[in-house]
Amino acid sequence: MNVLDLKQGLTLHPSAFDALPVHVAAFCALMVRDERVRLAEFVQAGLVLDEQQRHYDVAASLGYALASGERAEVLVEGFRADAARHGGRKFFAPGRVPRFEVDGIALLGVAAGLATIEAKPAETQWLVNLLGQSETAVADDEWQLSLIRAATAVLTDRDWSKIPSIVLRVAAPYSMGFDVLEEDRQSAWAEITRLDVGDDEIVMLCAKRAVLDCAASVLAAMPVHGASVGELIKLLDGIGRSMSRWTYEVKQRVRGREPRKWHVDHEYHVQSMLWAVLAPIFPDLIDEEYLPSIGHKTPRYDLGVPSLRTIIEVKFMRDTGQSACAKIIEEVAADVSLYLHTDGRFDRIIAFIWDDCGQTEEYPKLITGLESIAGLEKAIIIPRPARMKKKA
Amino acid sequence: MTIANLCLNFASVSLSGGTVIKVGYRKYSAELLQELRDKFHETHIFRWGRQDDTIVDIPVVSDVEPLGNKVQEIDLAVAHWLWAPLLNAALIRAFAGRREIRRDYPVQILGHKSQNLISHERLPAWVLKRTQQEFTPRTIFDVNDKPRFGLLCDARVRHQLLGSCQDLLDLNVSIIGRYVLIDLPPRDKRVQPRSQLVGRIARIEGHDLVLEDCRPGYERVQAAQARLEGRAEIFDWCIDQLLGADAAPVIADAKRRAVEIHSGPGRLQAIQKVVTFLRTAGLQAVPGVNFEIGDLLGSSAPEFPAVETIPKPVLVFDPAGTRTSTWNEGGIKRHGPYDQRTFSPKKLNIAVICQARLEGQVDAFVAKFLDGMPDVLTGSGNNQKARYGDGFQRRFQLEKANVQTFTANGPTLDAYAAACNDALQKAADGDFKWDIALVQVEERFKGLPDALNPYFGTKALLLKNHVPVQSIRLETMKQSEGNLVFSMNQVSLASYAKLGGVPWLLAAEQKVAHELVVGLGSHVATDSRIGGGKRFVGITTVFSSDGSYLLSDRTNVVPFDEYAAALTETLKKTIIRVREEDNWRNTDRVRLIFHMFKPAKDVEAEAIKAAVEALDLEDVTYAFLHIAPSHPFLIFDLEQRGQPAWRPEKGVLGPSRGLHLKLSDTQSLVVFAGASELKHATDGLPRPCLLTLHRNSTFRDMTYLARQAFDFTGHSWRIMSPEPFPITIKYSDLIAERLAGLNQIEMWDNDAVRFRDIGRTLWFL
Repeated sequence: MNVLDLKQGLTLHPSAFDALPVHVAAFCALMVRDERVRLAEFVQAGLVLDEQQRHYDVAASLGYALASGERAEVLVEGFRADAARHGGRKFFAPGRVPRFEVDGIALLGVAAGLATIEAKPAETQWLVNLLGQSETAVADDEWQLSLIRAATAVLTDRDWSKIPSIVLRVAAPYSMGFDVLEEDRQSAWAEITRLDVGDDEIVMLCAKRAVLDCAASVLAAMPVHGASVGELIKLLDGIGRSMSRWTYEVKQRVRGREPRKWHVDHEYHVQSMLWAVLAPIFPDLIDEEYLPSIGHKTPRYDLGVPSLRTIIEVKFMRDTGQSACAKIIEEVAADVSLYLHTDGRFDRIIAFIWDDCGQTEEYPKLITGLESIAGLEKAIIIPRPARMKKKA
Repeated sequence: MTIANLCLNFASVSLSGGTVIKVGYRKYSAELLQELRDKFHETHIFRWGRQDDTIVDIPVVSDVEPLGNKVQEIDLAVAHWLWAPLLNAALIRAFAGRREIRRDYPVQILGHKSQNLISHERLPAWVLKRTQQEFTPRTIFDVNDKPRFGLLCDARVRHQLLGSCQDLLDLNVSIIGRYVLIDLPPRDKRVQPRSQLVGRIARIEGHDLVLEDCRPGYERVQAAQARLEGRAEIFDWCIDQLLGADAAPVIADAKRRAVEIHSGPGRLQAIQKVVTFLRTAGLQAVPGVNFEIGDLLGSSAPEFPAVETIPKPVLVFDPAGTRTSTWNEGGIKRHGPYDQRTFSPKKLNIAVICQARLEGQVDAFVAKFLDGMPDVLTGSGNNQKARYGDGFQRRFQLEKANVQTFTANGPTLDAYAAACNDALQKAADGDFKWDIALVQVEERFKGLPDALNPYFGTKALLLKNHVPVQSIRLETMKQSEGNLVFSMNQVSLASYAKLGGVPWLLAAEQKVAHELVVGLGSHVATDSRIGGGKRFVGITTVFSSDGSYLLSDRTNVVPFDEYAAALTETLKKTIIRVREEDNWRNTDRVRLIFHMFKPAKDVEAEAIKAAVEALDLEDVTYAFLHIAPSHPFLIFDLEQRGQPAWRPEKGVLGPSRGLHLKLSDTQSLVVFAGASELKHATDGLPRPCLLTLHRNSTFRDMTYLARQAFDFTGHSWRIMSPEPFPITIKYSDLIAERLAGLNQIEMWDNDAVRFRDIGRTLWFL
């Protein structure tokens, strides 16, 4: 199958979400990265509801939002309360039609949320028990069984191999930021390219889309595309050269148009600059994701390329002198220790430092210091170009 | 449906003239009020003034003064509460001496005897089938909640056998076994005698009738004093006795003429005619104050009540809620049943019980039932469809069933019981269980006493042994294939539900944390018609959970006298159970809605509230909703030319299903079964149901309640077409009816459905 056709077949019309129950829409949004922005909308709509009106479907949608990296405190606390309330229910009560109990998408959403907030065993035991019963109830339905096993995996041992559907075996861990086995990825790729996708239900379509994105992220990391870690470093190193054409006009260049200056005033401007450079080359580039909490600390990195297992941490050095350099080394060291401990997806960090004072004489010592930090792959420092005079 | 072209059988009424009049007041007592009415009904009207506990009297003819010991002036223009009795009295005065007045409230008048709808040279003149008009004063509210007073008019056909039993005996008609009436003198001479059912003729002794199942004091009545009741079946039987072989065409012709009157156009014409008459009749409230009668109220008039078409309810066919439909049959064919992933067993053991002489026919029917009828297409032109092309097994995603037939050697209870025993023995010997029994019955079994009816006998024996029963009439099996496919749809749906399957769920628009809807339905079980027989009340509970409505698996049925206590007890048990299962908190908002076949009494409503308060829930609201099929309102849809559209023959001018008229903050009219849902052209004009909210209700959103009741009519697992009532009431009716019949069977054991697993299924469908 032509990959472009496949991608076309796995692209959703925006209106497809409108008719879906909220938790199913949230599942689909998690699977399709371009649609993840919807998760914030679902969170907003869900949290507006009175707690009593938040049925399991809303709780599941909040769980998917958490799994995508949303970390607002109100979301975490709202979801935790919902999960506790639903956990107090009696499941598979005799004579009662099961609903949440056999709704795999809902179970996976709640499980993903609980896993993301690192709920304690006392908070998750009810769901672990329920998933065991649910698995028996839907034993004849491969897709539901797969969803339920994915829920069990994310909540317990992260063993995705028991998921019968090869599509979900890749889509679930990939979309939630976990490692995918290469052989699973290849099998899933073969699966989605083998059959016509036209008749799939939207949920399956989205899971297949996740498989496609997963496969694409690997392709993006291949040297043939110039996007290995080494290539990434080269790209970042080359930004200094790119700055020679950075828009910073002191006089009018086009008649009728005011001269423009693209100021770089803080860390977020630098991040935007890097995003513009890297996003076309690394389709799995992600920004500002929260990582699992360590004690009271919930770390958030600046940019990440999961396919290269690499985080790019941006620093904005505003002051001059050795104390400013020492402070940068301390900050980067702290970040490295936080990030690499809390997320199994990443095992290296590149520090990208914008030196707003242009003190190039300090660079050799600073780079040596930074690169001596275990886990830091490379330190790249870009001095503010001399032509970009600071504002008075 | 075009809402702009509706018409109510309601004519606005206003007053003209000098409306300040004198009225009398005196202290109220019930006896005194009756005495005054008996004595002065031609000259005064009397009302009990509840607020100050007085009797108010108003002179309604010239030169008469108020009777009360205190006389005051009031302005009738603002004393709206007096308009209804004044209008009623005016109608009686207008018709007195011109037409026979059958009842004084609501006023009913009969058509002229000369316009008898049944005629034959050998029929006595006292055999009458005549029109009857009824007038009910009412106040409704327009879209701006402004009250509008008016008169509801209706027209129908009444059967009368006015000759005495002696007349019938003289004509050699055997009347033994028939119930008889006697006529009691009316309180108001202008009104016809009141007829009262007194008993059933056991035997005839000379000129006397000896009665059984009779009222006290009426063990013996003179044949010349008694007459037969006018129920349609007695009337037709009497014609048959009187005319013999000539009866059939006479009866058919009379029915045809009655159908014309009961049809939409016939009714509307009759109502318009009588309204036109009333407009020119000079109805006076009191001397000098006239009632002005307007036209029938159309939906283009500003006085018309708020109206909407309720959308069809959404049915859910999978737990995630991604597979939905507003059409049950289409949804189940497309998506399969809701519980297809979890339903068990997939391979059914089916016992077929039938009469031996019919085994071949029954086997053929069962084969069609299981495998479908793909070659039978219905509809016209390009819309032809195989409505039962898939069959029971494929539709409900089941495997090929194990089917065995057991035959009864005759149409008797004993023969059927023997066949059932054979089936049960076979299962016991083979160490398996029948999942369902398909039982062939006959229409004529309905005429048998319940205790001898094979329908109830097989149900009793099999249900007691945990086998749900789906009965199918022989007449159904013999239907033309074009009709049979529709019956198959119903039978397959009910069978799946009886197996414990869940065809679909009804989506709930849950704005409140928890909602319970309790339905009450009733059935009178008796061979006696005196004293009302023994009435049973069934109780069905539906509750909201996870965005859909679920049926509580435990139903209840009790004698009428015990229903209030049973209702309270069932409600408490259900709340306690659902509360535990769904982990309610004490502070959660809970809404309790009661769908009742009769108006709730204040004391019942308060008892329920007291019982729930004891459950320590802090935020509970109540709605007591009486759902009445009988009431004086009619709605005409002037755009409705009949159904089906390609061959219009039924429901002309009938409103469509889903139409909702909000008459006031406490009353709504809702069409549960409209023109499309009528089965036959002879069914006349479809009537809406009147929903009335009890004053003790604390949840008072009539629009929500009307829509919810409507949704529940589309959620029946008994039939594919909508039920005429919400399932909360319909299921309760069915439970009461089935258990009343089963209780007549000697071998029946009520514990089977009270305590055993079969009671968790919808065994009563």
